[in-house]
Amino acid sequence: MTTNHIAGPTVATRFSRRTMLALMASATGGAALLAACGDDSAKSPGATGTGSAARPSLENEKGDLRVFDFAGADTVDLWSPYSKEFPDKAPKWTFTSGDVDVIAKVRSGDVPDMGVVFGIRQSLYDLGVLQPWDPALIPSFPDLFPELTEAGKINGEQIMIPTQWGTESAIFDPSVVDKPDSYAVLFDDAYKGKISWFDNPLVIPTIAALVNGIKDPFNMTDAELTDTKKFLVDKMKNVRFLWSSETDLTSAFLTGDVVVAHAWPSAWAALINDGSKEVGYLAPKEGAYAWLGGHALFADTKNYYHAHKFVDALVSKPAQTWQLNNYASGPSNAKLDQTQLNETFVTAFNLNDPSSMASLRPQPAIPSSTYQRYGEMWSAVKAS
Amino acid sequence: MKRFVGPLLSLPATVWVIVLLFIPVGFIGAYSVNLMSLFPEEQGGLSTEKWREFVTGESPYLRLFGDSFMLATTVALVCVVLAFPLAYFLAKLAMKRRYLLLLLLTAPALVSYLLRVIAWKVILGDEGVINSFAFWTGLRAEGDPIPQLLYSRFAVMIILIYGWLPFAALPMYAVISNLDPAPVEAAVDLGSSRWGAFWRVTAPLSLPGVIAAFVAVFTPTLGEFIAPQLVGGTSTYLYGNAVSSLFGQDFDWRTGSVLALFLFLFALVALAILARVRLVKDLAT
Repeated sequence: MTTNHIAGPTVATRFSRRTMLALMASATGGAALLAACGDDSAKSPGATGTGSAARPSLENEKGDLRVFDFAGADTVDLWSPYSKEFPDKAPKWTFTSGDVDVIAKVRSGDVPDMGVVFGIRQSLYDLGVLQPWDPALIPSFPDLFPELTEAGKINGEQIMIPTQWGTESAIFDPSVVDKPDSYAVLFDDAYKGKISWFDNPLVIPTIAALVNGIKDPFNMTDAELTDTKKFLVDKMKNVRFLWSSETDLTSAFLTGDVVVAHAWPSAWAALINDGSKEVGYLAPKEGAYAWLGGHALFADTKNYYHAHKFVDALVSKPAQTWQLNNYASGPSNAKLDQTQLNETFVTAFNLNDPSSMASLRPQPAIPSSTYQRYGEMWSAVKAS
Repeated sequence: MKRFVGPLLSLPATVWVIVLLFIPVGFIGAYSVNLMSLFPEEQGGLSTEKWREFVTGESPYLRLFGDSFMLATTVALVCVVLAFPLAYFLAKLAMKRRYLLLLLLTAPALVSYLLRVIAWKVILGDEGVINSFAFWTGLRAEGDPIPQLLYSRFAVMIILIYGWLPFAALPMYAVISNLDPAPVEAAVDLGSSRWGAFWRVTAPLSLPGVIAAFVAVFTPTLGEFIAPQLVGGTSTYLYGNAVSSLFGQDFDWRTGSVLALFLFLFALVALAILARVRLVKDLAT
């Protein structure tokens, strides 16, 4: 009789239980040893870096910049002045998927010259792997919104040069939803099963905290965090799905799968440009939060001056104009020629009202303890 | 010299498994007990706190594992039940067309899994193919779609069954097509009905293929996170989603490592039990 084997049973007999356990133990032990040997102390907290006297001049730098950024950042239009000044040089890109990825790479010893950062800049600063930018070496710096450059400072040092931002708000279908004036619409039982939230440990929890009158949503006490968790677990029943890709969100909105959703201006603008469905964008009475991203300079860079040239190109007028018109990311440069900008985006980002920046609440630098506490809470909310 | 040949030949595979499986698993183990951490401030020495929270059910993830286990079991069983007649047809009845039909069966796998899931969203959405048909026929009032079609457990199961059905059919096909026809003929000659011969001879002999099909579907489904993320909604947040989220978005690598390691150990034990059952069966036969 033919016997058909699904897996060789002999394999199971050759590796005795003892051998298997020994292998597992040695692997775990090896990893533990590696962990113990790892340089977890990193550097002392705060900005560090090579002193200016020890730095080679721009001409003597190799200019082989390594940059952490999102896929798509390699488009030359986003840093065209640099490419014009140094036509024979182009950065080496390592694409990241966000703050978790950046900190994971840095902790594993993969440190670039500069990289895109959001709230994680505080943790990187605390690790001692960043150094401050010198605004004097960035000719476009005076053109930047002071509210954003201020948010890029840690302990008075310019740790991040802001390059992009967007309000944390909500899109809604005006044919179904009465024009809302508060973030509370994202938790409204009236739209049960037709709401979508962004899947992020900081965004929805801080918005919920704001709605519930918590004074410092980015620094909640344990009791406040517990209350927020209870609130979110209760409201999760209203949420149809959590979005992590803006395309998923806009397509779900267009097909009517959701009628209210947390969104950025880029999603709103995309839906307006699509034109097939009316869409509203919330101006929350609580004051709009904004995510804020920019570039940080790493302490051990051998391309200090090239990095400054490059970040200057990123915030230059042509690059920022291109970024807004093509990627729908808010510009940090306040001096853009409005006639060159997509009108929808100008409206979406309130760029025709310079005073609106004053009421913007950019996301602060986030210490690692906040990431841990909020992350733990958010994942438990999702699993509830 | 001869006694060294075996170990020497197995050396590359052993090194491969140690470097690419056991060492990374060891790292995950180190994260799970706080010997390694994403942030240095977290590191306060060996701690089994997250394991305790997981095992005691203090954190919600053990319940989530139970949910995923049930879903994976259901999907694997449905796949096996649906794929068995298909595999039998291909192996015994399709004759010359079998290779063409096999090609057709596996053809969807040539298209990206992500694309196929997105295509299902078009079918199941509130304004999708099924709901539009329901509106058109008057089965549902316009603007009142069937809500359970998308962002639901139903949607996840449909997609998983659709996606894994060919992979359940193939091992059963391989086993059934290799079955010796003599025992079935003998059973019929000795007075058994065709149906009786199938149940008493063909089905037991097909069991290795059935088990392989079940394992082939169950194991990856237990850790599945793409389909639930895209079409599951908040009500079908599975264990795989938690692992993916804890590492990718939620900055909680310690809990993520506990979950990942538990899943790995569970799969290892389950496969070991299956292998042992097969071994006992082989010894008995």
